Amino acid sequence: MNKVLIIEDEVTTAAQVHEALAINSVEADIAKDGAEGIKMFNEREYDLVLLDLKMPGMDGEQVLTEIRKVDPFVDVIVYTNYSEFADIKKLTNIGIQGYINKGPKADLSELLETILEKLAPLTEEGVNKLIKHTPEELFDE
Amino acid sequence: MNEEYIMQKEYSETISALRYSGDIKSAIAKCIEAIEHFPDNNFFYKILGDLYVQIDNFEKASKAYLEQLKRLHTRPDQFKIFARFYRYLENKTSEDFVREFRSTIAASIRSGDIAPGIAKQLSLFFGKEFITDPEILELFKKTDNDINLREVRKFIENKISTQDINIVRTIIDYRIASIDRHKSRQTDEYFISVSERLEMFDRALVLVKNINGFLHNPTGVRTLLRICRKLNDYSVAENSLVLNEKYIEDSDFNVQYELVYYYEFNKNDILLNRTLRKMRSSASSSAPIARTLYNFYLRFNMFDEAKEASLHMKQLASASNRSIQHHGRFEEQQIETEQGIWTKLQDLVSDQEHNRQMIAIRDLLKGFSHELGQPITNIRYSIQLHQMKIKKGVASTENIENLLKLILSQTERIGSMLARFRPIISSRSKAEYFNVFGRISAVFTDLNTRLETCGIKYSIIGDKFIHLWGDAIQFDQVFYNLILNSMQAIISHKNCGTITVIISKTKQEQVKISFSDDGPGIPNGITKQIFEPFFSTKEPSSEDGGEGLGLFIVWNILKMFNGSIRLNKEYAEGAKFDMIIPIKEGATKNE
Repeated sequence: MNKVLIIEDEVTTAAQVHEALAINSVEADIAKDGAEGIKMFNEREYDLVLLDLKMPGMDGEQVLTEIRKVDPFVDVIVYTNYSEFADIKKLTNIGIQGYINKGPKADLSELLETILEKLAPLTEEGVNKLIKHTPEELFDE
Repeated sequence: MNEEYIMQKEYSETISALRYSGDIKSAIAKCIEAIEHFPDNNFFYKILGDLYVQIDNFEKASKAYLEQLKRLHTRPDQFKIFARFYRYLENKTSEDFVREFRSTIAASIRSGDIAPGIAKQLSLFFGKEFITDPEILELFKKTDNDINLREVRKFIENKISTQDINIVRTIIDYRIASIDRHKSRQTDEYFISVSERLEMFDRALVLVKNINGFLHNPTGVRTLLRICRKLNDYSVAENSLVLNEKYIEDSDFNVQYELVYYYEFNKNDILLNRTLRKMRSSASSSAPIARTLYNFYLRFNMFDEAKEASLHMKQLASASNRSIQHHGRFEEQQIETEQGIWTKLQDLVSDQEHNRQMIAIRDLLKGFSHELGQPITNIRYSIQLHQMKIKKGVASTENIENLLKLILSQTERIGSMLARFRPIISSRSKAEYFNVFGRISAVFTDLNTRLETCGIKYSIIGDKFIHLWGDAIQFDQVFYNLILNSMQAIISHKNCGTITVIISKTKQEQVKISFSDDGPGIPNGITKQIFEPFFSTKEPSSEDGGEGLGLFIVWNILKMFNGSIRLNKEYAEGAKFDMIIPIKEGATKNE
């Protein structure tokens, strides 16, 4: 049920994130640039968008703005190895739920954890699990 | 564990089992049964809603979701589940259906069936028709009349300082939708400035358009142009104003200031220069205007004009000096401050060359660290992915082989990148006198076979006797890069072409080299980016490099020669670059 959209121009990186998500049972699509990403986002529903900031053509910030016009609620995590030049404050204003560093600090587990954590409260499985395993107090709420 | 909990658990397991087996009907029946037993559990309603969505019964799905909403408390993540469902409905069903659903929700809010925390989130989600907070409703009314402006301002500033932006946005939306504006002119202007400050430029623009007569005064025009500048999109301004020559003449200085940016955006050099000239006439007696103008000259590399403006600023300063005894203490201080700024500006001029080189180096490192980051990310991710697979017990020998291959290919990528940077970073820097015409001819001769294969002819025209002092091999790199770019552009377009180089000496002891081809030229939208590192129009995977370093290297080498390169935008038959390199004293040798 959960579906992630990876917008990333670097083919190798995108493929690795895709595979890491797959072995954690999360489905993902890859868009190789901003324009394609927006097109795909408009065509089907995604639960989370992983967005590279520095891309040829439309950059991450423009893509984010477009996405927010359509859907102010979808989780967007931006990641870049260009951190010192990303205007995080501005991005936060447009609306992002997470920021991850690539480059020398790239950490796939951290990226995955962040994604899974964002998806968690909404997964079909998660909801079922929650009903199964939550302490009783939650039902008394 | 109590009995109820075990039962809920059993229900949910049965429902998901049925659901995954594809028997949605039975899953729905089971879910309804569960709800009968546990009418207060919101999760079963959510699941029921999703089940109905699965069989496209939106009517029942929305009813189930509404019931879920009524059982929600204030947890924001739970609200998000609803929000996502609503967006889904918007996409899948008719406008009427969604409107009906909204009014049902609104009715539930009014009858108190929905928790206040959730009602608040709904009002922020849906906008003003859902607002129930009496304080905000009161404020809506107050924004209709300027006599309340002080109070409104206080409220808004307070919300901004506490980061309560959603409420501010809702109030701005109320102003946008307002019809009767004849008593709220100042309030609306205030909300334009708020929207602009919060970077809600789209909303600011709608307000600008909605206020009658706002564009009849300079402040309004200036605001509109400034918002458009920040948005990087002047279409609204172009639709509302005729920004022609006459407009420049009739505008005041502040509007002209914005017009400069507009003409720069539009690449209209003629009107840009006209605006600057017009501004110069207003600068004759005003120091701040002179300073603004000076900054513009620097921005557009109009150094002669900048120098003149700087002189003019000095004159204005000494004029103030002469009358200093007539001024009070305050003016005295002010003049001192301004003098300080002028001194600094003068320093800036002499530092400018140095700064430019620093900027070039910084840009180079920026690009370099970005590009290096890509293969590093890939190497790290691939190793971490493999570790993940080992942990999960799904790693294979084939995986290891692929991993090693990938790491090797990524290090090769780093290597070839370093090789491309060599022309800039090579420390050979063997300075010598060289003949400009001769070096350029030699580069063409070296590439002659490739040029002939592509059907490209070339001609080098002009002064054969100009010499420069510097690293000749780096100088060659400028032309290797330009010629290779032209070749690729021409062959992508047609099967023959011409490259022309014209060399001349300017009055200021500079050599001017213009390099042009008759290829497809550089598309208008990207002319600003072409000198940025790693900007490329070519496919990254293509064999011709396409890493976007060519023009960046050219630009850097010219910087090392204290020179510059500009794209000639007037040239329409292809691409044309104009380079200027100062000839250092003693470098000219007439043969």
